[in-house]
Amino acid sequence: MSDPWNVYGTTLESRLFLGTARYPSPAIMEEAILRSGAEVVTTSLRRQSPEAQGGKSIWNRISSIGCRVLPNTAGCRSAKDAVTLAQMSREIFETNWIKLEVTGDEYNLQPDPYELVTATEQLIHLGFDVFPYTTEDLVVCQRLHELGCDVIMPWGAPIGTGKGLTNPYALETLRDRLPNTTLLVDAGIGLPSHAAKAMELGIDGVLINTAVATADDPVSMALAMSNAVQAGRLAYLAGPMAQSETAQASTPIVGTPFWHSQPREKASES
Amino acid sequence: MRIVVNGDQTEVGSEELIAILQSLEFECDKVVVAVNQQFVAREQWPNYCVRSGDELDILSPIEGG
Repeated sequence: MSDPWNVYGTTLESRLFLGTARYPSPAIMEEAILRSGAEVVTTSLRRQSPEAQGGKSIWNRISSIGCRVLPNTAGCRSAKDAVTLAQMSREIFETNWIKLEVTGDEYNLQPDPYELVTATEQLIHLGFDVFPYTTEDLVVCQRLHELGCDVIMPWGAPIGTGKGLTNPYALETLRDRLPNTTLLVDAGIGLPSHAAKAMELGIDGVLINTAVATADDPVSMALAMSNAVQAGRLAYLAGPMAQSETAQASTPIVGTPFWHSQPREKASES
Repeated sequence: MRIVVNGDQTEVGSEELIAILQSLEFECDKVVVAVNQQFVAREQWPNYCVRSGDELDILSPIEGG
C-alpha cells in the first residue's frame, strides 16, 4: 500500500523512524534499518577523543545506508545547551532537522516543557525544522504548534521502558485537537502491538530504538515493528467498527437450525 | 596556555583554534566545536583565537535514539 506523507517538505513512504543506538553491533544495526524500511534514522553528537577519528566508523556506517538523518539533542538539560547542540548538529549533519530533547527529570528522563518551549522558539527563529520530544500534555503541544512546529513527538512512556502507550486518551485528544499537526510517538514503545495501537489512534508515525536494538533478534523485531506500523495505519484509514456493550451475533440469525426455535404450528391446525 | 578540551585540562602551544585542533590530532572535517558553550561555526575557525581557561567542546557524530 502506498501511503506517502510529508515531513517538513520531505515526502516519505515509511512511517517508522528508527534509532541507531544500543544495537549489538553496527552490522546488526544496519541490517535492522534496512529490514525495517525506515527512511529516517536518529543520531547524536558527543565528545570524542582524536583516536576515535571523529566517530568515523559509526557515522560512515549510518551515512552509507542512505537514510535521512534526524539528529537529537539528547542529554541537554537547558534550552541554551540544546540550542548550541542543535547548531553543532546542523553543521556536521548538514540538515535543518533537529529532534529537540531537553530533560527535566533524571528519574524518568521526562522532558522539561518550559525549557523545551524556550528552545523551540529560538531554534525556529534560527531556521530549524524542530521535532520536539515532549510529554503528552495538550497545552504544551498546542504551544509548540503555535510556535511553528509542523511535527510534535509526544512520548508513549519514558525512554527505554517499553511500557507502551501509558496514556492513550491523551494521544487521542492530541489527535483530535491538533488535526493538522504531524504527530510522532517517540519513546516507550516496547512491542509491535504498541506501535500498531499508536497508529490505530491516528498518530502519523512512530520512532523506535530500544525495543528493536535490545531484542534478541533486532533484525526480526525491526520487521515486526514495520509490519505493525503498516497494519495500524491501514486500520486507522479503514475506519474501525464501533464498540458495543453487548454481544451482537455476526452470523445471520434468520434460519438458525435445530435448537433455538419452537416448532411452528401449521396454519391448517389453528 | 592551559585550556579545557572535552573536560580535560590541556596545555596548548597556540591560541589559534585550527592550530589547536591540528595539534591535538582531531580530524577537522569530522568535528564541530563550541567554546564556552557557544557554537563556533566552521567559517569562523580561521580567525578564531582561544583564550587561557576557555572550555572547548569538540564533538563528533555518534549513534542516537
